[in-house]
Amino acid sequence: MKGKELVHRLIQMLITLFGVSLLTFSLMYLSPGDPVEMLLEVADTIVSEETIAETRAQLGLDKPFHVQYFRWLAGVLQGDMGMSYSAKMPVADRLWQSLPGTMVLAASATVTMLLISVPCGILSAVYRNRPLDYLIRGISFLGVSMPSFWVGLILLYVLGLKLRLFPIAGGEVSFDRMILPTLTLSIAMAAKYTRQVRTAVLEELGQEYITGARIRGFPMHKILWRHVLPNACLPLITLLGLQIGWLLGGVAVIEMVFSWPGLGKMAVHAIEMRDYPLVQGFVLWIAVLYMGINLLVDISYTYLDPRLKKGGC
Amino acid sequence: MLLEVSDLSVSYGEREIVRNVNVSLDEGEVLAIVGESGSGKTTVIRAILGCLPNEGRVSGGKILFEGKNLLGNIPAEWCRLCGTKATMVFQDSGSILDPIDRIGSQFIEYIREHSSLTKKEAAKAAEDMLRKMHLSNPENIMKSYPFELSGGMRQRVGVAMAMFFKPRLLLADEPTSALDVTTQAQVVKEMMEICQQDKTAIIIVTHNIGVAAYMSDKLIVMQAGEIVESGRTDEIIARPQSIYTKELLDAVPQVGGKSYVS
Repeated sequence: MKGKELVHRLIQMLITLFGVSLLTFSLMYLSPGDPVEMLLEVADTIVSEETIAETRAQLGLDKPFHVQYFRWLAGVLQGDMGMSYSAKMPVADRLWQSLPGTMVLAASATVTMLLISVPCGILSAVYRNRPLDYLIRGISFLGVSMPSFWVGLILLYVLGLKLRLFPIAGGEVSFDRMILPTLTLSIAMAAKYTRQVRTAVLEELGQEYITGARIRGFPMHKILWRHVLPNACLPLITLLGLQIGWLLGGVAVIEMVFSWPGLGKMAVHAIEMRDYPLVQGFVLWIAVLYMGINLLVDISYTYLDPRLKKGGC
Repeated sequence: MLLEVSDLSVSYGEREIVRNVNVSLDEGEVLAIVGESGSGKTTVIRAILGCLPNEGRVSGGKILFEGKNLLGNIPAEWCRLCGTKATMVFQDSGSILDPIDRIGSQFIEYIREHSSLTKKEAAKAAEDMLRKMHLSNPENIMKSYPFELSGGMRQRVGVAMAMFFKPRLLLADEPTSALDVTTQAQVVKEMMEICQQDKTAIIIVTHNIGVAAYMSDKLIVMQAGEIVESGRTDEIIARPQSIYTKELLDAVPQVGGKSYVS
């Protein structure tokens, strides 16, 4: 990717971010529920109309929509994402607090997913239409069909509650508490990715250069490692980017199921509390992450595919 | 006898597309198989080295190479045969190379697969071989990706790789059809030279009966999956027996009243 193209992409990202923030801001504005009442209800006391009005004015919620939005936007542009109503601390700090939990979970789920799906996908492609392929495809079909929150609950019930292999209650980031959510996320992702690996490998196996390598007397396992996999990597990296995109959303549900202290759980709580600044901050962060990953994918392409680097076909 | 193919039939699914083909070839002999596209000529040579496309399979006959029936080969036996004793040049040698790997790295990998040369020795040997195919800047070619070379260069690289281990048999599948006429003649000449040096037998598949007549000792004419005529090239060109062969010969353009065939 050349410099000019990169600048172009970054501008595109900024426009998208603006759109995303405007959209979430309006959705929050339109949704029922009043943040001020939510906030004061927590104290469990009867509050007077004056206190409500006072708090509303304090938070700037009495202003019309566009004033609220642009005030928020101006803050963000100066690096200030505002104060979280519910956590009573700056949004940036709150996000920063929850970030490690989600990152650790997302990383371990992605690694586990790759460890399962890459070998399975390759085996499935190499043994196409034979029993092993049918078995792998059958299992992956099952995996795609099951909603991940349900898988999570079943795992919790069987492995946690009945067999007592893993702790059921989350609440803190630790290795043994991470296993079940990792498994749940990677099952859903691996089921889909296995099929994608299979397709990509099959596509490469049908290419003429495979015939060429066989005619040059290479055994199949060498052809697989040296030529099929590097070539199949190209489409698979794009798909991996999309998978990680899904993961960022999927992780929220799983964090709730396992009460894992991450961004997802924080976001759900923020929505319940109508904590506008925190939700905005969360959405913005996810959007940046998602676009950043896709940008990285595109940049990596230029290094992996010489046809792009040298401006060929 | 180096190669003896008898009563070979090849099917794709239920359809038999090559029937009862007989081919015999001695050390150093050149055989040309001609015919229009779809006549099954490429299928025949692909069947010999066991690289038919997915659905294709040999449904009958025998393929004896140095007295051994290749149809009973297990994968390891194919690996010992292909690339050293028997090799193949394709219509586009670029497409049979890994598109995202440099020519040099693939050439060296190929040499080291079948020999005990070090990386350095293999690189040196590969460059010498490219030079032998009249490629003037082998160091640059080694560093290039397949898509960066012209058609003529790619074919020369293909021939250089195929001839590296001085194979007993070279199968050439329309090796010059994708090239312009001048380059075609050069590449054919260079390929012939190198094969004569090493006493390599060739089966060349082509729809260009001019190329066939120039190169070959023996000729097979195929139509719709069957052999319609076979024999010594000069005899067939002089006295074609089948109507189809006559038609093919008539289709050759004549310049100044002189056919390019003879």
